[in-house]
Amino acid sequence: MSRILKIAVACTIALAGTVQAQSWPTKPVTLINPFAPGGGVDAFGRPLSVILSKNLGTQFIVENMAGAGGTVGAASAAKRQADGYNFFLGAVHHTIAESLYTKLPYSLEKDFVPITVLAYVPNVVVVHPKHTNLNSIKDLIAYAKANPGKLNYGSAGNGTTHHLAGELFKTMAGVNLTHIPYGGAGPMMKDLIGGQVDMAFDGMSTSAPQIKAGRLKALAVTTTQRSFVDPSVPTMQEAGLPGYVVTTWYALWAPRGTPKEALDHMYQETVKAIRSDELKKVWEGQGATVGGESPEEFNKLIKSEIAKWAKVVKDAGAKVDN
Amino acid sequence: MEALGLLLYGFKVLMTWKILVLMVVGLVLGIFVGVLPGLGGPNGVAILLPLTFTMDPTSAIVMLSCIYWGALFGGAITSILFNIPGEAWSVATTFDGYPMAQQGKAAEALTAAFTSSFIGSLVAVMLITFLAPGIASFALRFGPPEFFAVYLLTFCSFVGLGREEKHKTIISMALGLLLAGVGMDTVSGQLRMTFGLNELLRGINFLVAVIGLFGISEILLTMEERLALRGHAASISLRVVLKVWMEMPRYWVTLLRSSVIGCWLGITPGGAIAASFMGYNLAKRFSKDPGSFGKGRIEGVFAPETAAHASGTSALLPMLALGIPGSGTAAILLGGLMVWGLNPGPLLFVEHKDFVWGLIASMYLGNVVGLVIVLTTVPLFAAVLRVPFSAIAPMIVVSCAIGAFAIQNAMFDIWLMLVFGVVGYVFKKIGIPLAPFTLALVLGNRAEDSFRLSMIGAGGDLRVFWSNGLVGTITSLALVLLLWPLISGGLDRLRGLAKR
Repeated sequence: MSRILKIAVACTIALAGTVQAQSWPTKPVTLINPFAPGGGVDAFGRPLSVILSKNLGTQFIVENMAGAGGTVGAASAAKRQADGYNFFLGAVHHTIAESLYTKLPYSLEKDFVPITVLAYVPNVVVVHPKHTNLNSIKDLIAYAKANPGKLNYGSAGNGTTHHLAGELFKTMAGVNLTHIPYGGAGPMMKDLIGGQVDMAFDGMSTSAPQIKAGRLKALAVTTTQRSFVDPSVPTMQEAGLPGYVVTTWYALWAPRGTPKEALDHMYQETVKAIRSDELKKVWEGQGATVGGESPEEFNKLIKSEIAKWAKVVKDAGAKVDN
Repeated sequence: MEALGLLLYGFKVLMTWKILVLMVVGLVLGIFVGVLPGLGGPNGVAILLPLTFTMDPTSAIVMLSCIYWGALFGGAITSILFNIPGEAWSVATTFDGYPMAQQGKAAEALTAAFTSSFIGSLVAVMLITFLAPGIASFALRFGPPEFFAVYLLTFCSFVGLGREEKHKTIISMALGLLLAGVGMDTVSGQLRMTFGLNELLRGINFLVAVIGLFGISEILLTMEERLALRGHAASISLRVVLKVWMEMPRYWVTLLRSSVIGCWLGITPGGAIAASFMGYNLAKRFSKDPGSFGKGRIEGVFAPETAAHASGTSALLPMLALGIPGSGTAAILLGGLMVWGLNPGPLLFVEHKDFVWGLIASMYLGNVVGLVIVLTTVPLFAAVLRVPFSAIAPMIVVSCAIGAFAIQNAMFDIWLMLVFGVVGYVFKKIGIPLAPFTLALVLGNRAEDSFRLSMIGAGGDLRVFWSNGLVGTITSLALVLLLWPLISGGLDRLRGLAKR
């Protein structure tokens, strides 16, 4: 092959590469958010959409389709055209839903391809300060064993991470707590700091300011490492319940069949965006750490979470027959 | 007065051209959001939130809260002109506002709605200014039993009020309660009456039902009757505004009562919807001439609007003082605070003085500017009634459909809206009142949830509703109102006996 030909081929390939890169996105991209405006997914998805719109020169639109613990939006996303212009902003809730609902109109593993994790938020075990005798996880377990069912814990609803984190705690610690399901994390928090609810397995971002103000007592964080928000709070491992790990994470999927080029490009752009200084600041403000795993690593996470929660759902008997 | 000094400091923070322009932009956007049925305050604020990420926190919160004030004002406009509540809390405004518009008094009704909104909001802001930390802890005393007692009170304030036959009121309320049960149950996670339809998992959206019941059914009735909107274009001038303002002082009891109800339900957070219904019902109950309500009485516009706006404004108090959202919109603003790098929570007042007092000052200023803006638009909106029915009706139907769709981005909701339109038409034809139905639909679920959460917490002991002075008083008050027709009937009879 002559040198000129080689150069020509190289140029063609390079050119094809750039042409391909420019061929997506050419029109607005929809990010389907299966929760209500203002929820956890929104808190990460909307800032992300702003940065993606800016970097790629086309609109990224967040479309809220709330209902039934995020499954209504997921079902809709699964049926969207897999043309590279529809993506799905999901969360750990969707791996729980796989076992929680008996008849899901979609399958997380079959109908979606994973892209990457956007953010991880630790949960934290908080108790109302009126319980002066409960100052550690060990105290809590001892008291709950001596008084079965007397302590109650609040959740943002059936099948939420709040709820199942509590159920997982009950099985692993061998105690009995009464579950009080609220219709959202906001009303639950009100009754928690009002003392009508004894304790909760709440998200770090919402509990941190209350802990700081002395309205709640933090006993442990549920991740493997301490949270930068309040490094004085031990992990569950350190506090005496090894193996107990619960993380609320938010992530990005695409409907299966989406062109590989769009998937790759979206992955690169998303990772670039969430690692930018602008978004890092937003993430930190919510007590979250940045994701950015490769699709393969994320896929492993999905598989292990589905298996873990399926067991918790089974043990708790928290099925939803739809 | 430490609060006054801080407030003046807040005004100083606001007095820059940039913030004042953002304020007007926010208000105008908010009024549009409020006018479009379905696209409510929370959605409007959520959609515009990303725009504020690059602003400083004070400018951002001023703009977003002004969108919220604008939406609160705007909700009344379509309620009065077309019997279509722009927001859930303006349902009660249709009861007397729409009849007023039909009698050619649209301008009066709009002026009354805007001015009473302003008063309700002003009372709430003063409460926030002077009593914020103390009153915030009052909110914490409201657990599930207290909430159930409040909802019970709202329902009971309704009983024996209507001119309609009692059994029709009961049928209407029962149907509303039935439909409120559709979807996934919060407490048990079980599905009810979804008939395998995934769209019904999340239940029947209240606003979708209301847009159909009130808006679409009104169009159907008008088509059947005479193909003309029954509103008459009124002459609009400063005179009308002044006339309404002259009338207002006569209703000071109603305004005060509604303000108190609104502030109470905003702080605790029972919600603007319950507040507007309770404000209306109690105004009617304590009126010397309850029969004139529902036929275009101006007091029937003052009462719900004052309560709704007082509640909407005071809902920001728990957010500021405790870091707890008092309403859907407050929840989204709370998310905004975190994005702007502020930690919402009890320490906000201490750590971010300029932000908190800037926001409080903007509530005063935003409401004054908002009132001026909406009052100047009265002639514009009232003129809409002069457009021929054949031209305006399709536009109303389209905007209803967009509104119903926008709530949850669901095509299913448009069909649901049309079904409710037919239901509303049939109800009106056979004389079943719509108000008890809507009340039951919106509060039925919450009342049930709070009842069952109380029962879980108390281990099934009904005495929990008398377990402290607060909940005991509200429950007893509710029962007295429920039995009032019997009690007052008994008293009349006793008096009759005594005379004889």
